[in-house]
Amino acid sequence: MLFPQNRGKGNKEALNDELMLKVANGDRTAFEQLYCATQDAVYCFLLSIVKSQATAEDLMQDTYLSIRKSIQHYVPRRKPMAWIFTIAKNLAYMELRRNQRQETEDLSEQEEKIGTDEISKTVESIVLKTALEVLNEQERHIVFLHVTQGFKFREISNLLSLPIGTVLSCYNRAIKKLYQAVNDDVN
Amino acid sequence: MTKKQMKQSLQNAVLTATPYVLDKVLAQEDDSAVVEFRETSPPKQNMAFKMATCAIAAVFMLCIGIFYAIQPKVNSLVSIDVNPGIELYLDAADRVLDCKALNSDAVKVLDGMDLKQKPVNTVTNDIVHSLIRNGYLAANSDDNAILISVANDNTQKVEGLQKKIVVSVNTVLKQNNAKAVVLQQNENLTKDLKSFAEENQISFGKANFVQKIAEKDSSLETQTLASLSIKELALLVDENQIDVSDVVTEYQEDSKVDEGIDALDNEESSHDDVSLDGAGHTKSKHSSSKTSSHESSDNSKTDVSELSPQQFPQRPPVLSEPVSSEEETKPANGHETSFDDQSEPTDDPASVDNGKTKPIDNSTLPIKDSGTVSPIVSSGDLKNNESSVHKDVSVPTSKVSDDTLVDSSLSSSNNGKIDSNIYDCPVIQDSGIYCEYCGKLNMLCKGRCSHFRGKRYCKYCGRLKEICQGSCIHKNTDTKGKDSLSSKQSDVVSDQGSHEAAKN
Repeated sequence: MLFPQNRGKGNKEALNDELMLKVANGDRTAFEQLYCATQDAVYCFLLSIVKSQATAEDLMQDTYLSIRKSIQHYVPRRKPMAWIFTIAKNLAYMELRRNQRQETEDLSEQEEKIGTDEISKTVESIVLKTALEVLNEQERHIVFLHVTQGFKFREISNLLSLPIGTVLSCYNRAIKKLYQAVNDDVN
Repeated sequence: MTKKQMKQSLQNAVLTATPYVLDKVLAQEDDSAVVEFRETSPPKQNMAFKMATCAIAAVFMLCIGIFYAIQPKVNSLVSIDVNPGIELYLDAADRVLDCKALNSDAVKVLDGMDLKQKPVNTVTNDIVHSLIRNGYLAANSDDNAILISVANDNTQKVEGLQKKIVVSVNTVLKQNNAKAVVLQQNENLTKDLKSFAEENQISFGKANFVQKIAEKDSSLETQTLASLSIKELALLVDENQIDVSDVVTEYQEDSKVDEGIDALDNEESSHDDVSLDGAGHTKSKHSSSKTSSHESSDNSKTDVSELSPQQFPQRPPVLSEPVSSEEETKPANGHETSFDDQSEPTDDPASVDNGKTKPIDNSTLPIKDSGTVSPIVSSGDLKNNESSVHKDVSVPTSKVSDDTLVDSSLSSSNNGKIDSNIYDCPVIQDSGIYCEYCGKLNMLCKGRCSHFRGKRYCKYCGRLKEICQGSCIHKNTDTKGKDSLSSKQSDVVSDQGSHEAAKN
């Protein structure tokens, strides 16, 4: 596995319509390139929605399976990441709706359980846990994609279909909120 | 912890937690349970498309604005009323922007006519032609009335426009040998007037005329008046003696022509020629000329041009007029046979004064070929003509109604002159030789005069009825027995004396 800070950055440029065309033609290597270029972004995007690492992992697997199956329906518009995010978002919302219908488990309780069980007590884990708790979904999307994946604000604006001003103000507000919460937890 | 450290910690936490599921994905062959994703969202419009759309919309709105800005605005409103009511909307250059038919008759008149963007005088010309063609204005008749109304804020513009229209109307009427009372008025278009006009489906001009009449005579109702034609309104005004001089003015079309004829007559009279001053006068001029002729009747010199019409000899007795004594009804000796027919009350509607609406029917008059009117005269009379004092009357040779009868022998012998023996013609004697409306000779009037003021003149002597009072019948009856020219001449002198006595 690549070092987390550098992983995926080189392959992000390789993600284009030609690669998607190769994947559509059944090229296994192309699919591997696609996976390496997008796995971190897809995971943090799913995690920002479902706030559960286990659920995000399952949804990540379903997302790539869905990408393999639906790649024939991809319309080349030079936005393969947006298409992949759309698939991930749909699957995540489907999962959330299914959980709400079943009402067997409270999501907050599940998150609490996940937070205590799976996320260690390191500083990184505290920051991640705090981010999942104090930020709302839109703020999580923006902060995760910008901080962890290095997406530019304009790219986030395009991916989430939000005005650039909204993205900027939302990011600043989220960072202040997170910074205050993290400092409170650490202290 | 700083913000930078916090961001770094968050990045490491997420990237470290990212699972590696590629092997699981590639290992799973049966993907029937996987949801197939179809992109159904509509393609989003890019900025260029939005800009292009906005630009097209702006250009479109600009075009609409320019289109409405260059649209001509209505400057004047003209209404032409006979019975059909027509409104013309004019621009500043007096071109017709729109033409509105206000009743079914007007629709018939305007049917098939394209009047838009034409000059107003051309349009008026076409409309009057159509009115005549459809029978709303009678050709070869003077029993017509037209109301022309102009609305504009500029008084000078109104006058110019009115003159232009009226001249155009009269030109067409002349071409068709018709005559009409052309009433013209100016008014401001008020809301009340507009609502009244719309309510009664009449033009604003007729609405104004009707309202003014109703104001002057409270016994008349506006609703009733609105349903009448202009001719009927004019007759009503005349019968009720309503003064509408401040509302409408009657166009005097022949004033200039009459002045020219007067000048010609004066010139002829200065050469002691015996000519008939029957040329058309305007009514005011006619009355003044009569007065002057009466005053000059004492002169020994017999200048016909200065005489009043009743001083002409051989005026036949016409019994269609009411007479007081039995003696007056009897024809003169020697002409008993020829006057028998005339002594009976005639059924000719033109000669029966059964109402002011009946004009003299010119179609019953004797006639001639192109350009000259000549009566039918017997051979004996023709001989008398040859030896008689020259009493020919010069008449304009321009227009003669087509329905007149012609004695070709006379027309060739008289060379365009009207002989004084026309008074022997039974037809003329029966219907009178003077127009009851203007006092002119029928052959000169030809029914072109205005009937607006009704029958004011004696049709046998041409004087005002107040002056004549039937006295002319005695004189004419007495003169019928005389055949010689000298006796006729003496009658002229005696007529002068008797009329002067009667007048005094």
